[in-house]
Amino acid sequence: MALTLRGLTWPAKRGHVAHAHDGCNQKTNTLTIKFFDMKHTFQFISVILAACFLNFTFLPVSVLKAQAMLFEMLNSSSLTLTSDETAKLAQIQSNTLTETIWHVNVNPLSNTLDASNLTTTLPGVSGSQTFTADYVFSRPNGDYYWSGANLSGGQIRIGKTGSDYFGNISIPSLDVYYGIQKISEGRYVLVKYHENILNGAADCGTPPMANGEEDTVVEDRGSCGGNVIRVLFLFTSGAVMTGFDPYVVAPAVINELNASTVASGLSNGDISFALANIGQLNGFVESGVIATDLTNLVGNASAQSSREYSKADIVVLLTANSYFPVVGRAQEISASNDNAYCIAAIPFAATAFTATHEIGHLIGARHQWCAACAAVGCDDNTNHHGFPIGATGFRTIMMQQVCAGGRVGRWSNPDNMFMGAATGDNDNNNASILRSRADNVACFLPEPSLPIYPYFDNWVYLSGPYWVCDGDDSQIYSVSFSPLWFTPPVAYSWGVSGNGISPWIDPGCNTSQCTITGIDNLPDVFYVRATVTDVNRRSGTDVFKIKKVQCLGGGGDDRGIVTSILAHSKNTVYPNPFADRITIKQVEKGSWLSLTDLSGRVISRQHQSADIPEFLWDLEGLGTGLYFLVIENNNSVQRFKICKQ
Amino acid sequence: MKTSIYLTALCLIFLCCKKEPSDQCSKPAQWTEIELPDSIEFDRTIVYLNGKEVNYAPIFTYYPVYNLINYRFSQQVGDIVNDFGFSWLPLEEGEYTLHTDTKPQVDKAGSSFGQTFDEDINGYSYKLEESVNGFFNVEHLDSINQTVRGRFKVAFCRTSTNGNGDLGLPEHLLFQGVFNTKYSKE
Repeated sequence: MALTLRGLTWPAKRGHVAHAHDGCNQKTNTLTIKFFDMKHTFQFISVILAACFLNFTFLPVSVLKAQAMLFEMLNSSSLTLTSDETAKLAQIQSNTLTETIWHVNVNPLSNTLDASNLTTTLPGVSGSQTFTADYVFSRPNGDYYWSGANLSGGQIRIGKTGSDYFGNISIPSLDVYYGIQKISEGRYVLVKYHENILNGAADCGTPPMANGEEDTVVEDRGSCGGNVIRVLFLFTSGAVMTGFDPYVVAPAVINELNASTVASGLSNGDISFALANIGQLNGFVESGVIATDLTNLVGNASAQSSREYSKADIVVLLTANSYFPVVGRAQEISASNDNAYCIAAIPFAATAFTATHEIGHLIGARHQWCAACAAVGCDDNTNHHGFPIGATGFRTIMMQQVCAGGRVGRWSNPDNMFMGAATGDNDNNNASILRSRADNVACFLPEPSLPIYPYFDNWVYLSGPYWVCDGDDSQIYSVSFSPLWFTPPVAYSWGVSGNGISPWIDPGCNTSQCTITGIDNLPDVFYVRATVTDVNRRSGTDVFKIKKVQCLGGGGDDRGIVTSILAHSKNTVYPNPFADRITIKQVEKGSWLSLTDLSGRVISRQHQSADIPEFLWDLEGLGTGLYFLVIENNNSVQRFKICKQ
Repeated sequence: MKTSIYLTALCLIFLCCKKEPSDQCSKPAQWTEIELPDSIEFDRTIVYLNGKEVNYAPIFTYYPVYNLINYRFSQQVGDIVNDFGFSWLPLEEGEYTLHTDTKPQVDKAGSSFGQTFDEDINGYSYKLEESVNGFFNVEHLDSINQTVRGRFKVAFCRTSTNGNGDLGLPEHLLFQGVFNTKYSKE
């Protein structure tokens, strides 16, 4: 079933027919068919026959729209290249890593996404690959970042900034790695990297053993029993001004850490990473000297309290690109609890594994052996080193850029292969240090007993349920904003999307609260977006990825735990911002209502001994500013960011 | 009386023998200073380290989001990057003394030195030598054409080698310079 919301049509699930649901006899109906194989073709024919049987009126064939593939292959012999494009192409071709280059058009995701799935064919790979959305972000100006994965361990990252596309695709199980490279405005090539070139190591390869150096890793597994390293990402205002979104980059780095450790032969039982929190480090201004900023970060009281609040083992500060050519720094290799801080310039954290690299240092991983590439900083202390994979090939995460070749998401490990080549040797084995130090670092701070909720003063903050019952047709969302950043009055705009990229349908709201209707007709995963723009044209956006879940039973308390969460999600807090009193709907018997400041300090607490349809909380004496309203009971904890005006 | 004498003696012994904290550094016998030129043509920067001209590039960045400008001077020698800077200044002309606080101060420039090698490894650590009357003067600033002219003097002393061997810098650094160049906007 397709969805029509304000006259536009949502794509339906693959292989299904989408049609306007208000009738079959209107010429304006859109029929969207996606079919990739015989099975779906058969479905298509079946649907046509069924539709005819049901007296549908069909549009001309020209209106039928097949889902576009991500890459449209171009015939290189018919292309005319400018001298700049030729030079750029020669540069790409001269890289010994390059196996094959295809000229391609990159289709916008709005034409290629099928709800939360992206299917594409890749040259040299039989069949098609389908990736499911992982992290998705988009801006009203059309920029987006979409990352997805599939069960084969494949990953894809596609981003669009302005008119430029960037991205890469890796499918380790098939030993293939592709990158999108721009050769001129609007012209791209898809590069497949060479597998054979990666066999063996030469110039920048295995360094000599130093004085009978042996594996000095001690299996020190720590004492707290955990192996989940929680990472807090802080960011500066300058970082945001680079155009990279910390709320996209931070989870992507966590993803990168988890994917790269697993890809490097480590199991989740050895080490894993979790996002502790993301927030702006207010009042922190880059000085331009990274050593100074790192010292200031370690001593910053807000960073320390944020870390404590978020129970984070490691803190990463994402900054503007203020220190180039230096783009990241860790306070200490194999850091102690007090020094588990690092800095990464956000453009490089987003694109070049820099945050992952610095986190590696904090855990104990080192650069390549001194003899491998570096002229200074001879590092022959241990065997925890980065490694160049192949002669001039890819490099592991801890390898410097001194040797040519792109960084891939691998930690050195002699027992692990990448595209046919070992990713380490006996002297270069960072996987072993990650494994042996994971428990120590994971024990820096205890695991939180309750989920940690974002409490930072970010720009725009959506509130509402992340899950909705399949069958619910409407849901209320509200948005608040930081008065520190925005100057009222502000304008609100809302959007609903089936894929988080395009199209975004205006649900017709222009206030801080919006009732999203027609949910029943939305895909199983959909997106709600709110944008706030102030008098200075400063704007910010927050996006929710919302999942439909099957609610059990026939209603009431019998609907089970999922329903229970959903029921609590229906707590509505309004108005927000508020003047003196705030109303909380559907407060359940036994609930605790707490009001806290942004640091989590409880200001007021109330216990409700009966079900209350609408609880009016008088907060007249409260100072203006941002607070958290926490609603707790036996089944769930909900936290709302509220603003007293 | 006797006890007081003993206590005084004990204190004196303690003070005499007290080890210098690791973040302190000794002063040189004398700083080697030069006379800075009165004027400098556009697009030129001259930096002196301990009286000798050195190649430090100006990287001046104005951050509208903070409404502040950072003046940084950076030198790359092989894998070593040396940086010193004057931070968190308003986008205007002025004469600034130096400070080491972690945030902007009125009429003062935050000043520090940092060394990095192998892309992100800590080199030597230095601290601002406050006994030297350092300054950072912005003599002319054109926010339309994004140009700035000025002069500075700042001294640092080493607090730690961080266990590194020779990274090419002496224990005491006295930077002086004049500049007349463009700044960028982040």
